[in-house]
Amino acid sequence: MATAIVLIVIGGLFILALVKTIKARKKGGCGSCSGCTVQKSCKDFKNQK
Amino acid sequence: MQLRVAFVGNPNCGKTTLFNAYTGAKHKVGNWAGVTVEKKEGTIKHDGNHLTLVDLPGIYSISPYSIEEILTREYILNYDPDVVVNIVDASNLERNLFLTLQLIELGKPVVVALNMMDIIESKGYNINVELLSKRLGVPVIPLSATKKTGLTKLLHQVIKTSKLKEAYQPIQIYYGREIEGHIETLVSMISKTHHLSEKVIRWLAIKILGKDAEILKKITLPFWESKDYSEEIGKIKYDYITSFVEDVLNVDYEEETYSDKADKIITNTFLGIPIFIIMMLAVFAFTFSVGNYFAGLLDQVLVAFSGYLEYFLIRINVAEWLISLIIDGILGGVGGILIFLPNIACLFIAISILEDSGYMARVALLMDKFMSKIGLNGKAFIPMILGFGCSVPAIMTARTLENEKDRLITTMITPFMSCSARMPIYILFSRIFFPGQEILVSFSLYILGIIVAIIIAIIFKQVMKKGEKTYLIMELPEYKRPSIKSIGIFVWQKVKEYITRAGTIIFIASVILWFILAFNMTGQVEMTESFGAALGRFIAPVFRPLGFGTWEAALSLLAGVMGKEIVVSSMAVIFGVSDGGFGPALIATGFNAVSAYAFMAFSLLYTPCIATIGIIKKETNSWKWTGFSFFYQLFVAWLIGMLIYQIGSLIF
Repeated sequence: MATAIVLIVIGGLFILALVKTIKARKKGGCGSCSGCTVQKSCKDFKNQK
Repeated sequence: MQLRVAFVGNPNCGKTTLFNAYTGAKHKVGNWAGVTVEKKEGTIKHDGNHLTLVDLPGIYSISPYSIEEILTREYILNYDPDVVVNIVDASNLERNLFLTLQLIELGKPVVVALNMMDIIESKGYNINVELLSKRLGVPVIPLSATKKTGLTKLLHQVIKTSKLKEAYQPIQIYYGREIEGHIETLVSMISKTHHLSEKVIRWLAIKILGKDAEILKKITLPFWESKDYSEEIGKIKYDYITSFVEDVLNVDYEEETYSDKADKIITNTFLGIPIFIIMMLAVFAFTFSVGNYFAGLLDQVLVAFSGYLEYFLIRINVAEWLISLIIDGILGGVGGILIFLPNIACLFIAISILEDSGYMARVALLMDKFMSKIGLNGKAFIPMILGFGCSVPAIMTARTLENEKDRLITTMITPFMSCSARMPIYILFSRIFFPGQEILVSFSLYILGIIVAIIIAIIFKQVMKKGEKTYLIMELPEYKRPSIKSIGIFVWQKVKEYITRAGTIIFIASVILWFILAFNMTGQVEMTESFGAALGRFIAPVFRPLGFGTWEAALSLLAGVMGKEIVVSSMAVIFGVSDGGFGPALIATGFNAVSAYAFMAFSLLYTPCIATIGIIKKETNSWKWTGFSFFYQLFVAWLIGMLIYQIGSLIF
């Protein structure tokens, strides 16, 4: 029972980390950029390119 | 009322500082040019109006020389902001007003924010604001974004100007009989085919006479031909500015500023480079001395936490393999990286002090002198310096280079700069194999990165037969006492990034690594029999000439492609040790001082991490160049690692 609960928690965290990483990659950042020198949030601006 | 306000100005005129002052945002502010390379938006309320402020990249003109210039121009034209706030550095009036005239000519309602008035006054100058406003034909508001003076007045003026948007009549510069004649003809030709406002049509006509490539692509005039008037048009604008700047700018008294005195030494051809070396050594001394102290404390906390967690998991009867995954895999890997957090924080505190004080801008200038001598673009050194932090934003700033070949070369060489993710590798190996000399060893690796980048750039330049020479134009900001707020924002962002990476990509890598090190096709096995060990053994022979041909080293390096810190977290998972246990484990696998240095050099130079590969693909828009970057860096790293090990082994 304890194993199952811990496994679910670890699995959940793993999926969360995976989703966050994939999302960041799609945005084109380094995976952690919340405030580096380059802001990547504006789709309109990217479309102009 | 909803208003859209665009912030436009020369690089380093204080746009982002002003934007942050209004919006309360914490965007990075750099005391040098080119910090903003994409636009940022923020919303504020003032007198019942909703204002969307848009901070655009710094530009010197709205001619299509660099991507930012094109983007800013397109933004102003296509998004039709209600008001353009042109931030002008009052301490550099003449140069800044060139852009002001171009903006006025575009026909959009402009308000000039005369920034850095505090600096002007401290220099003993005063500006006749009324006269300036009269000559430009637009409102001028004096302010200081840093001291937060004049900000409300600017907002009042923005709202007032937006209400008079339709009635706005910009001043018209008279370009002389010949050019004005052509403008008249062009205006009548364009207005027949394009339904645009009178102001925009005149601006288009001037641009066509200046042979603006972007405009010529959009406006086709089959029977029109004329010579290129861009030089004449530019000169007339400058003449117009000079005609009134002397009247506007009054000197009460003039004294040589501290910045001028300091620059005589710091940017001196002979003293500049030794000072840079001393500064960098000081950065590493701080990173190691203060960082190591806190890293030691953090290690104790993590070891104690790991012990308690293991005890708890055993007590609640969790399966043995899952305990191993959590303790050896996740905590080993993530913890193995987290213990370097104090060192990373110290590194960024030191770098941000240098940057905010205005010193880094001088480094770019110093390197420009050197790089111009070997025929390279000095501007390329700005992304290279940013590469000390992270290659991803560094490569994006390569956009500021006008020449496409320069951009490509800079993109190809920036990953050689030692980003902060490599730091844990240097700290770990130099502490074990070079005790007492960690500072020198880490410093030598940073220098190695710069030297390799420059050599590769020279080779690229020869092969690609680089086009026309471009020059570095950058304003040297005044030296200033670094602001604790700016440093705090910068360091907190970096610390947050580091922790986020530990919780995402390093967490994922540690779990995957634990699985491939615990299993093979037959089920759970000893680590040496695992799939991971087999994979490491398959690659290991490649690294034999470099002195670290073991499966452990090979597998760590392979995992390091996901992110360079993962080289260290992988080793923590493989050896099942934390900070203190690495020494005996590494020595047992055959590492010595020479092979350790070769390993660090290889880690510095080999294939960039996935995020960097992604950004190279995005910026070059070419799989060919992305693939090339991947393999050539691998080759360069192998070659240099091999030379270090083979020559080093003969000497030591």
